[in-house]
Amino acid sequence: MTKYFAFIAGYNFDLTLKIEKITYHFGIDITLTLLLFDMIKPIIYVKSEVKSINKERIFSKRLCLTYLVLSGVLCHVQPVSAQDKNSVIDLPLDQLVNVDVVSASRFKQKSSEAPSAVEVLTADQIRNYGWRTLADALNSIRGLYIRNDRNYTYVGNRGFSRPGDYNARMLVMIDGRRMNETIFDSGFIAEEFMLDMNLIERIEYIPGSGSSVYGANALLGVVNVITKNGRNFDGLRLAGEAGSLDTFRGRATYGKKWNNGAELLINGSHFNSHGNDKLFFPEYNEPSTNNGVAQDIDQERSTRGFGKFSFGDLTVHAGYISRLKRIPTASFGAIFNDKGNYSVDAQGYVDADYVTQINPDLGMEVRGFHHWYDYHAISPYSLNSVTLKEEPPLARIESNEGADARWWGGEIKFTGTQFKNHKWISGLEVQYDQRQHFFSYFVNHRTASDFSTQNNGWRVGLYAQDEFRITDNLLLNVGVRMDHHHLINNLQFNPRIGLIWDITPSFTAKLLYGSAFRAPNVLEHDLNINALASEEHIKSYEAVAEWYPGGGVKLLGTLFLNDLTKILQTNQDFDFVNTGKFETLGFELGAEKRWDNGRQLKFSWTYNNTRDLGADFPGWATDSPRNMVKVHYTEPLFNDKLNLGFEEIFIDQRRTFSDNIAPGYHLFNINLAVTKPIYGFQASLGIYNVFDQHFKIIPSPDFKQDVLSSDGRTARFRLEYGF
Amino acid sequence: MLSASIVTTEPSVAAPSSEIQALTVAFLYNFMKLSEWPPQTITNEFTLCAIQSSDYSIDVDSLAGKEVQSYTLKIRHLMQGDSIEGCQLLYIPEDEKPIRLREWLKIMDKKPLLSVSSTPGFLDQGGMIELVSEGDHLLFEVNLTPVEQAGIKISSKMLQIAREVQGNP
Repeated sequence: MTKYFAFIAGYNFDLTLKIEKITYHFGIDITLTLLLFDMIKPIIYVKSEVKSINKERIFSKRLCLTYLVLSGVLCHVQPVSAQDKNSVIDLPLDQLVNVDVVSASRFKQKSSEAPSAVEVLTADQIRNYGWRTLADALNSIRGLYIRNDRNYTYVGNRGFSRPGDYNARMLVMIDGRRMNETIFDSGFIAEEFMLDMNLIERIEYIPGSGSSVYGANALLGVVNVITKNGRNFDGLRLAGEAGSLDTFRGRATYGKKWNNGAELLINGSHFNSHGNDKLFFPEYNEPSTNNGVAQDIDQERSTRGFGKFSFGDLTVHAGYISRLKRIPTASFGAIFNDKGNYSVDAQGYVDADYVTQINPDLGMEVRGFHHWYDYHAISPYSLNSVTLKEEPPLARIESNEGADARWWGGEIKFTGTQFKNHKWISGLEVQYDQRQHFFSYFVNHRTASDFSTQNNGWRVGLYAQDEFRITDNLLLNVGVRMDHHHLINNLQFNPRIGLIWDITPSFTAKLLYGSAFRAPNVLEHDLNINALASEEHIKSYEAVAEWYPGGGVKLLGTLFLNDLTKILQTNQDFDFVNTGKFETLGFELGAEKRWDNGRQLKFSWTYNNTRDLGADFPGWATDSPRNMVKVHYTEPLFNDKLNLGFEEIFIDQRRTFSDNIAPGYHLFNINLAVTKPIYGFQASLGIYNVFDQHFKIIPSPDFKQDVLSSDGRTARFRLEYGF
Repeated sequence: MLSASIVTTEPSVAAPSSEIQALTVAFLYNFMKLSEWPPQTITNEFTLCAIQSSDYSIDVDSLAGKEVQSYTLKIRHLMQGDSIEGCQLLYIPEDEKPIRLREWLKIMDKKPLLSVSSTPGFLDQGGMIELVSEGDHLLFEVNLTPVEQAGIKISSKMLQIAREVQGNP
């Protein structure tokens, strides 16, 4: 697989163009596609003509004759396939009333089950703003902030972020399926996330606690990524990307929906980025550590696969991701400037679900799933630091830390509307953590410090939710979920109550309360020697006002209080104990305007005060920006053929672990995208961090560095061709 | 005319199936083809307006650029408070809040605008065309009273296919 995609992405041909500080690289992937273009140009020409309106039909037929030799059967096939693509649309009314409705389709399209203000990002926005990863997209959402410590990418939420946590306090889902793995509970969001951005139909973000429906880990929010379907592609698409820091991606996607209703989507991609040649870390600025320069240790590489097949009411999903990242930061006390420091995360899943409408008032979904996760990290250490010998010579040994996990399970879920003014959902979710194996040892230096742990056990969740329309303008949403989790002793009950009041047709007020929990992960559970780690807990309260004053304007205001208790922290014995206590109080203001021509302007401001109440000196929590301001502007150009998107993200100053201040920063991105295919081609050019700010992020206390500098200005060019 | 002949030459499939979203879009397209608006209200294009849905949305954009009665079809997405000026058809999704549905119907009262929704009881509230699920099929009902008040003429062919026609013709 790797070999095949390497051919598409092709790194051996590289044309470099230097403009000021930005370096553009155009790889062979583009050249290859251009070559393809030359070969098939005549066919594309005919295709585009045939697809145009009827008046030009005769003209296109003549063209067809001209290129018959070159294009062969394609000429004859094309009009037919263009026809059946819109087969239902072009049926006359008397035939439409006889078309069989696929029973489950309505149920399938249902978005996340939540009463709160769900933030939705669409495929159009992903294209218009040139978001390269899920993390780029999440960074645009009010209240969220992203940081990358050159190993993984993390999200902070409304002022709460715990460096050292691998997004275990946010639930990441694909098509409603839990993706957080079962060792660290990581919710991957960047290059280590399973999906390519082209597969995403929309991203839903539900702020606040979501355990009442989704169970563990939905502490601060739930991200649900909805994938596209085969019909959205209707054929083969090849894409190539090239960007700064020797970054390339090649991707192939095939999607099709047949007349019998069967639908297929297959996607594969390979990504490689050399990263920075040299990274300077002032904390290591000594002759013995290469004067603080980490040379060629910033590489990132990923390989992905995703497939989705549906027939009738049955859908099968499968996904795979493997990602390698070299670690230049020498975190966890590793040897500095050593290329042999990297982590590899691989994750895969298969999921089959059956959605049916038992009767018009009762829908049912049954699904089964199997997931696995493999991780290993090689880190170089000095034997002296292991044996605590002070003097040289330095003997290099490697630590191998890794994990492998398997889990499988199923869910049955009912949705009913048989009671007037009520819409209820109820379900049972079962998961068996068959294998949760974690190990750590020194290669060629086995000692008593070798560590290995193995867990297995059941998770069971039972939930119910009812949406009760009390009056025409008053809606009550009540949900509760009971969870059993094998890594904690007691049952968890988490309710959620939402009251939605439409005061006028254009003004809505919402009151929301919910609680959620997170069970300790395998490490927090098994590394403890003296203490016992139990679950973390949150209670969240939110008031929301939405106003549509007219003229395409939407205004939003929120007031929120998050009360986090029993947060796991390490004590002086390095045991994980539930002593952390945090409180966040804040508000958000948002405004959005859409124009008829497609222009959009969006603004959001989040203010919060997050206090660490469990600290020795209670006060401002670490890595907690008080203000976050985000502005998005998109302008369609040349009759919707092009789109120009501007994104400005301001993240306020944050307190570091050494009680310093990481200054606030502006991240400004520009993206130009071809929105309608030109001869089958679509392209985009994005310039990220235009002001070239090497803004500072806060890594976990396992780093010698108090802050890390982020990458400056980068560019990416993407070219896609649809057959 | 040409497009109709193409459809008829295509071999007919016994019982085509479709997802309800695509079928809804096809119905809207046909309603626009088979209705007649007061000529002075038509500028140089036909506009189909759809209210944004939070739940599941139908892909009306696939109709953009199609031809309706020799006009090019334009699609507009509306949200609460937006003007309905220039729309020939307004589609109100089923999940639109009751209070907003009433507001839309109030705004469009007696204006030359065809209202379509699959919300149960839509006709009783003053709506013009209601999409109704019956078994495996999607059908529609028409209330002629508001249609006539709006100065719109619905073709007799369309009325024949309707499951039920209310109001006096």
